[in-house]
Amino acid sequence: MALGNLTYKTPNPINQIEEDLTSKEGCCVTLTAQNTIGIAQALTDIPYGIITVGGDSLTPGTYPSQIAASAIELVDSIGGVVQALAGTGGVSANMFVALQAGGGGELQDASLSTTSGDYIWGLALTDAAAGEQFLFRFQPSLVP
Amino acid sequence: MALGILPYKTPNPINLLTANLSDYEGHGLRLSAQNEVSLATTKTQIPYGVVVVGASSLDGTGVGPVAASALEIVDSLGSVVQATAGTGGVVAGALVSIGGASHFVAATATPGNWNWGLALTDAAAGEQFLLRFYPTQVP
Repeated sequence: MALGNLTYKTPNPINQIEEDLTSKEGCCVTLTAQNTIGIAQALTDIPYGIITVGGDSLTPGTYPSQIAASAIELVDSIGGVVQALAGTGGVSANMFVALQAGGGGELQDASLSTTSGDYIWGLALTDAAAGEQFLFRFQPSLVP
Repeated sequence: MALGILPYKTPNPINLLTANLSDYEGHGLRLSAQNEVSLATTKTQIPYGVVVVGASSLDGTGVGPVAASALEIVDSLGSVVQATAGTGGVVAGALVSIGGASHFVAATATPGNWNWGLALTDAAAGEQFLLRFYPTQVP
């Protein structure tokens, strides 16, 4: 009997990227257009998912542009648990996290920079220093 | 290897309607009473789900008991479902709320309103789009 999470294939195909996502594993992305993602940088960017396997497009240097099928993998399922990248200051378990302002899609303690209308991306499940990865439950919500 | 989403059976049975939901595929629903759904038509109504297969009631009036399995709904948070766009259409990457005819329209940041989720594809008015159903109330 299968007790673990089954492999989930998103019904929303992503086939274009706004920038080179190579080495962006654990970073946050937003849906910039139909079938297109880009690194989330503004605290008000609407959460779409977290990159699990990064990569570049079929035409490096030109963006937005098409990616090869299955070249990039991400978690976009609400409640999904994924490895995310900690920004400046790191994170601690049981801490709500938001984007690091001006960063490259890393997450940090939501209380450091968010104001009303910004997004909390989810809950840190493990500790991590800056630049390290941590377990993260993807659970977006608006800051009141 | 299973790659698709496995069928999900809600533990909350819906067996009563307050309106005929035939041809209302992609429209938003609220839980109007125990085991009963109604079309959501105001932005402050709490989202319950989205119609996948519409139906009428057993007596054909649209009001009252509905036959077992006649009506299908997506009610699980985070699910991706085909929804119908209302006036003005919707754009991928934008939050949507409910319109007056239970279609989905661009969300507005009015406190107390409910955002029903994220549009994943574009759609003009009357067309269907992919919706990630994840309700949040505007603070």
